[in-house]
Amino acid sequence: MVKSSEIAVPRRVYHWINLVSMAVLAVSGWYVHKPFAPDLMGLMRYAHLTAAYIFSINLVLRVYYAFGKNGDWRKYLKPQINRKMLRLTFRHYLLYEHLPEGDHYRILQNASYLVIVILLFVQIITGVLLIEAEGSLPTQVITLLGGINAVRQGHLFLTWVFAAFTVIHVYMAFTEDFPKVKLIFLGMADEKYSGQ
Amino acid sequence: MKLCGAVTAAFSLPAGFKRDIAYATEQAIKKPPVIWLEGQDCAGCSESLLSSLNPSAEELILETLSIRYHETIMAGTGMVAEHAREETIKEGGYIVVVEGSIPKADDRFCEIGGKSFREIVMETAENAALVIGVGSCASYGAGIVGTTPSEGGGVAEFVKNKPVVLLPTCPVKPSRLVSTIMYYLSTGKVPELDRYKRPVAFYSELLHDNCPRRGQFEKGNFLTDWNDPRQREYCLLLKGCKGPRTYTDCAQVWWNDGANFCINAGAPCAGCTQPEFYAAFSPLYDKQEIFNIGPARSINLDSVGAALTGAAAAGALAHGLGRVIFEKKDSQDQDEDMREAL
Repeated sequence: MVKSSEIAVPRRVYHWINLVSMAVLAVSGWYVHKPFAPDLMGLMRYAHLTAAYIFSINLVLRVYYAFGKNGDWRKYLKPQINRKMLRLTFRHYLLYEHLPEGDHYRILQNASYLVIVILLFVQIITGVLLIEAEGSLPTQVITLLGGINAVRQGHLFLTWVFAAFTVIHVYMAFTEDFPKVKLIFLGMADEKYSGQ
Repeated sequence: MKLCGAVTAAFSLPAGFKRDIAYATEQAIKKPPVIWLEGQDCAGCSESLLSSLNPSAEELILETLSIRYHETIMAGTGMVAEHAREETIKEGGYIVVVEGSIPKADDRFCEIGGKSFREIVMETAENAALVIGVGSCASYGAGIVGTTPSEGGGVAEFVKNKPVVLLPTCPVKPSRLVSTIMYYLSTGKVPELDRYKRPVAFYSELLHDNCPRRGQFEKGNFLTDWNDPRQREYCLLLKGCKGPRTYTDCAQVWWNDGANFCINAGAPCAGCTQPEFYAAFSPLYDKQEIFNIGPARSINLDSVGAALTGAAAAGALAHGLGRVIFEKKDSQDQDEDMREAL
């Protein structure tokens, strides 16, 4: 393996911070939802809020980066989806046929990231509403969303969506594009690898 | 005088107001006429008012207010009683207290003396100075919104051209009702209201933030077994307490002149000040994880989430197995090709 700058350092840093903060958010959030051990509520709430701020700032910076000079917004906002590519991709997933040349796997992958990022922002907004539920603007938004309980349930439900996504994300990354896993975590590549 | 002080404190008025309020109370010799209407109710709010300790019921009815019409406590009946109401309407400037919801599906669900309750409310509100909806039914409609055939509605949905103050809780807290009336009499103004027409003074703070058991919550002590004496003072969240979603001053101003309130008595908050009460806050004694969307009403949120994630995991596992079994085994070269292609 050799060092590679295939995935820029900011993207790798983002991914690490994202991974750790999301793990903290999931565990502490689950504790607040269903306390699984005594005497930790204060600590867990503190951890949840701290991780939430780190996560949110991280996400905002990543979006800023995506639209910056070396930004990669195009592949998320303008994925090259067409019928032929979809047909080949689905045949690949369902019949285990090899994909012909091209970025087929990554195109749908990036499209799914776009959806997830939008949902992450929804998650941030619902989270903020749950902390700051008493101002006049928050109360209006909460009413719009169907009451504070609906907001809480939405926050919880989205957590499950992210959990399901993470399962698929990890499976796909490891089986479809393992070299990229090494790239994003370690910045290392097999010499042969020439993906982007 | 004690009551006047309480009223002053409740609305955070300067101490000087205590005198104004005392004056207003004295003026109650001209006593503000009150018409108390009962629609689709259980008379629990009346009961609550009559159980009031400070002011006591007799003080309230005989001295503080001039209740001209009240279906449960008035001595007169039939034509005589109705006549008293009509006379008061002619006088004008009275306060109407509405208890219970008004049927929207069909007027005939609630009729008094052959007249529909909706009409009675409308004609009584016509000359009123102030309309107060007491209790959750009069505030938001039938407590179990959408599940009663009469489709009860709150008083504010009907009375549009008069100032309406709503005092939800099941039943109404007497101190709030008396304070609101006193405030109106002494200032001539309707107290500052929130978006649900509730006085900000009583309904602006989250119960959870002022709960006497908040320490137990922070510490992670949650009551799971009603019979365990060690858990007697534990947080009631897992037993369905709606405190984290309920705006009320219950934790600061206890019921019946500070005697007690739900959580202190060991009962989880039912969230009766909120429009979500009761249907969207059920079940009462369990942490609420059900969806409140139409037919999905009884589906557990965590079950859906677990199923979703489980399906993803099972799918990944099955796909992985399939990959091992079905993937073209002569793919060594193809893999190389593919890697290059990518």
